[in-house]
Amino acid sequence: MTDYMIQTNGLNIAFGDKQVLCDISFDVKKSEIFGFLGPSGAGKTTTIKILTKQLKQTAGECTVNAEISEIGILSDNSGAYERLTVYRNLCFFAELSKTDKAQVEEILKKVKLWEDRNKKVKDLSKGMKQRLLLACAVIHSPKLLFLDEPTAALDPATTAEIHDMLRSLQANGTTIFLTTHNMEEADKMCDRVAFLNKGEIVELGAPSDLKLKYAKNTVEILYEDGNAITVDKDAASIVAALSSDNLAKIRAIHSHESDLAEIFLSLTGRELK
Amino acid sequence: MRFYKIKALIKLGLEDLTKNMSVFVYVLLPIVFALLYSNIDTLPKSFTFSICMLMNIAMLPVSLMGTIVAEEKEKHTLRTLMLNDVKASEILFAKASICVLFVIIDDLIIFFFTGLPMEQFAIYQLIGLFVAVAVILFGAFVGLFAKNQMSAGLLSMPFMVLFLAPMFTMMVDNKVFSTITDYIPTAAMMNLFDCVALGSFDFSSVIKPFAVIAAWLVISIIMFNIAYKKVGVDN
Repeated sequence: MTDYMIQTNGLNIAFGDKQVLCDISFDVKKSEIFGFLGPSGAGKTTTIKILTKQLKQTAGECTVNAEISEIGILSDNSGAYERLTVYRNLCFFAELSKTDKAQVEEILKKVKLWEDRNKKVKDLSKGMKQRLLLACAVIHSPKLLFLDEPTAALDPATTAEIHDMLRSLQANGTTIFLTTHNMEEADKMCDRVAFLNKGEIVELGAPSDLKLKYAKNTVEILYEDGNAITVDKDAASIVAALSSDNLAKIRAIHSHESDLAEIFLSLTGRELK
Repeated sequence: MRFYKIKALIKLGLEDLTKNMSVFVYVLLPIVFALLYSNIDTLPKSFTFSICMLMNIAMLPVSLMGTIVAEEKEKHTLRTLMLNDVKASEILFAKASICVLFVIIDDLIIFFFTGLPMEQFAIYQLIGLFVAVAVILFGAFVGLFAKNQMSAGLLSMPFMVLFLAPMFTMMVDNKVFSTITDYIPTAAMMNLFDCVALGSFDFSSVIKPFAVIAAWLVISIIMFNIAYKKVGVDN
């Protein structure tokens, strides 16, 4: 039995003359949150569309070890029935997947919409609607969940609630494929990330490994008076700095770690927007 | 096709439709006409029934089917359904079933309003249903091409005018126009209704109208298949 939920090898797709994905290869392990990061137009949504069979690649292979009925998807193209209530919408998706209706109450409580269950979808705020769509995507307890920019334009409180829910889904064994250009979100949520730039994967790994790999070779020494100096990370430079007359006045010493946004910028020369 | 999915789709579709007055008016309109015409004492009952059925069959299936499919596209619920393991054929079958159901309900109300004899009930309903199926497929064709409800309204207009053509023949005394409209399914339906009303529902009288309706059914199936292969359900 394979340990991978998704395996791709040399995926290519072109729309007319425009090459959108070039030799994309990556694997997503079961029960991991895999972040697919890149600026708008990098090919993130196209990759999801190929993996969910909405598009056919022009070359390469991809294997998704889940039936369509075991997959949940939340994208910016997801929709709900606006004239009907939150509860009725979720009951409908439960009926479609033969899910027990008891699950509806449980999920609505998880996404904090139980109190608003009798509201019509058209009367919901953007954040509430996004939580409902997420509930619809996970009502059948999918093995694999695709999330395309799930927290884009949401307030921090709603974002935190969605993150909590994703963690609990992961704890129950759901594999999550998350696209975002929010580096903070990716750093916090993802076990591994792939950087996508102009249709190519330019880096792939765990956020902590990438931050170490691309760490700046310097340390910063902060003094009590607020001054700071930056010295090379090699032992001789640090010892030289610490043995100076200012030793007693040192408040802190920090290694310089890049964040994911800085790493992406250093690799591509582009900002993640 | 999976029945439990179709059942869920039909239940939701009916609930949603009754809350959508801008579309539900298509269902109510033929009933209002029936109510008005049935109160005109000078008109023969069979004529009143015929003209109300024409409005029902010419307007309801095309506009209703086209609009409800297009709305699913416009509101992104169609994509959501298809990504939730619902097949296009299941969605279209459910939508068509909703349209057929409302056509039948309207047919029944029109029949009772006009007060035709009960022994003619079954034959009138069967004829109406036969034509409605062909017309619904044209509605599905419209829904497949339309990107939103507004374009569905525009695209369904020529079909509605075509299917309402027999009404214009009553206003214009033109033999050529009348001969041409005989080959329209709704005109064939009215000819069959005439046969029932006059008691001349025999093979020689009904073969031509039935052939016309069958030919339109074939045309609608072909057009629907071409559209389905060309644009799919969610373009």
